[in-house]
Amino acid sequence: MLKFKWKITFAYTIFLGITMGLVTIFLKNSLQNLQLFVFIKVMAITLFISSGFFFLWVHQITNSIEDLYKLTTDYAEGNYEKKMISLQDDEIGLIATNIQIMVKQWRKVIRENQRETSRISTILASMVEGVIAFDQVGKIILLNKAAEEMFNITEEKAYKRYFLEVIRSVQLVDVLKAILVSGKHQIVEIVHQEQNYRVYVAPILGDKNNNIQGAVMVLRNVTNLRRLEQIRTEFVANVSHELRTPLTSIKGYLETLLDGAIEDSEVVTKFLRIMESETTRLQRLIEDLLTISKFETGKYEIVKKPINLINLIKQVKETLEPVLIERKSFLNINIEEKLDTIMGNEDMLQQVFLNLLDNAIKYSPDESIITFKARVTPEGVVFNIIDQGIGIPADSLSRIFERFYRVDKARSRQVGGTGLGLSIVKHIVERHRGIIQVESEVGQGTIMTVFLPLA
Amino acid sequence: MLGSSRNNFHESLAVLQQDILRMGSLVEQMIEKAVNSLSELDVNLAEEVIQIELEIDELEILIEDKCVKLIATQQPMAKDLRKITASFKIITDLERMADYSVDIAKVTKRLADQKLIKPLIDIPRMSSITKKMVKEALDAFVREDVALATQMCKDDDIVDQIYSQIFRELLTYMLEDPRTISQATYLLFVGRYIERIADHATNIGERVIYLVTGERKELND
Repeated sequence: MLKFKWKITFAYTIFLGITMGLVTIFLKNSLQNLQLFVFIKVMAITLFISSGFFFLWVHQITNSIEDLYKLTTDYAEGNYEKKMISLQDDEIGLIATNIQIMVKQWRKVIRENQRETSRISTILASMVEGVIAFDQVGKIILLNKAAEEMFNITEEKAYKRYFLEVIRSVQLVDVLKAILVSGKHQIVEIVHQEQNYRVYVAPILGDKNNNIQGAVMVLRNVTNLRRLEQIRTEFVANVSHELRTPLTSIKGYLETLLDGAIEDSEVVTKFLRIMESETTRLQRLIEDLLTISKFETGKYEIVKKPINLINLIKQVKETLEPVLIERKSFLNINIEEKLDTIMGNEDMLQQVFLNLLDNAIKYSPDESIITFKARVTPEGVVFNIIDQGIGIPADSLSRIFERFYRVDKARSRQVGGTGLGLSIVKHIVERHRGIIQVESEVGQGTIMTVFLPLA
Repeated sequence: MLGSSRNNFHESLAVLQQDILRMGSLVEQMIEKAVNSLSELDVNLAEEVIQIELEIDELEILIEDKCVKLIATQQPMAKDLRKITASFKIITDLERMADYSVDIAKVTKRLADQKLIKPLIDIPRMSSITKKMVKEALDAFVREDVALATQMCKDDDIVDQIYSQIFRELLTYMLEDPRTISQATYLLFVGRYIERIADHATNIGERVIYLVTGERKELND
């Protein structure tokens, strides 16, 4: 590239040379030969010197332009962080200063934008709710971390894809379409892949004219909430039902007595017996309810003490003796010899084993053998209660520890359970930082395993 | 001019795909609702399934028309043409799946006043695998993903296994107690329906492979 300063100097020299030449030709006739020669010499020297000065002057200007060029090249390459430099104190220098001030302001705006973007992306990433944003045709342009987890997809894969390609929910896509047309926000609750979501969809409006530029969807997983609500409703219904059954029976007998049956002493005794047993059932139910509510409100502190396991089981067995005799069943106790004391709350653990063994006997046919095993492992004590009873169907296994859950309602009432036993057992075991597990096969029997940590 | 009409064509193809995906996700919903309605013996849910079928039928006609229009006006070649013909076939498969779901819903209505001879475990398991197959088949179609199509078709074997297991189990029930025969037969039908749905999903997978590679491959053995 021929430098600008050379070009100008060259042009100036030629121009000046030509002008001087013309002047010389013009003066040729009026001057003498010697004078002309001197005159040409003076002209040549003047030309040479002035060209030199001219070159220096142009050089200075083009240097400023070159500096300006270097500066703007840096900016053009995106290097905004360059320090301010001061150029000559002329117009070009002023332009350079202005450019630098402009860039400095840009830099500030860009930094602010970056900070804002990173702040927003941090907020989005740390949200529990899933956030998905769409452009005006319904393609995904943003998907936060929670949404990635909800629908098991990465933002990269979902980017610029249509909603249905990523999430197969006709309900949501209909809502989205409606919003991209109407621009009115909506709240819907949907079920997707067996999860309940509460979804808030709002349009993204442009700055001018409020054009719809897209939509944003905020999804909250409310599955647990709905499940809890259902459990609560069921619980209230169950409690009322369980309380009403014995009450109805007592009331019925009372009415019969009042209607005249009171005269027949034999009937009176029989009726009173039944009423007594129903009252006992009511009492037991209310006690169980109180125990469970104590556990669930967390007000129940347990005090761990060393307990003699053999004595504990002996007491449990004594309590169960009447049932064992009635069922003609046999309880086989098998406790490892080195295991004599365990740590825990005696009353509570007694309740655990009483409940589990009682269930094992009641849900087994007559004349069966129930086994109680206890052994020590390095981590803690493992208890097994094994029966050869009717077993529990696979789909009920995960639910038997729920309050009032019954595999077969009619049968449970017949054996006289409150429906809270296993729920209490689970609470007690967990209060001891233990684990309770169940394995069962229908018709083969059930194995209940309780693990209690050593300390 | 040509470029813009090509662009237009691809935009129309994208819209077509959206419609197919919509149909697919409705079918997924139908399968889920039909089987849930059966295990809960919930007649209302069964009615919902029958209602969704109406939309499926409409969608089928709509998509068919769009396909015909695309072929007539754009004269697509090679892969584009294969994509449209594949769409034709896929909607037929989807429509059949919807029909089977309705059949299941009808079984629910028929059994509604009875008690199930046993809680359903294998049928829901089978249906959730089948539902996954339908979803993955359409994912493979949209992304033109041969690997996914091939892998998804393998699940068909599991479905077949569960089906034969259901068959054996129900047979023992029927042998034990002849009163269960009527209901067990219906449940057996349901198993068969789901098994057929899975086969149709495999068909979609095969079409995806044809669409991408131009080769026909039998994945359903």
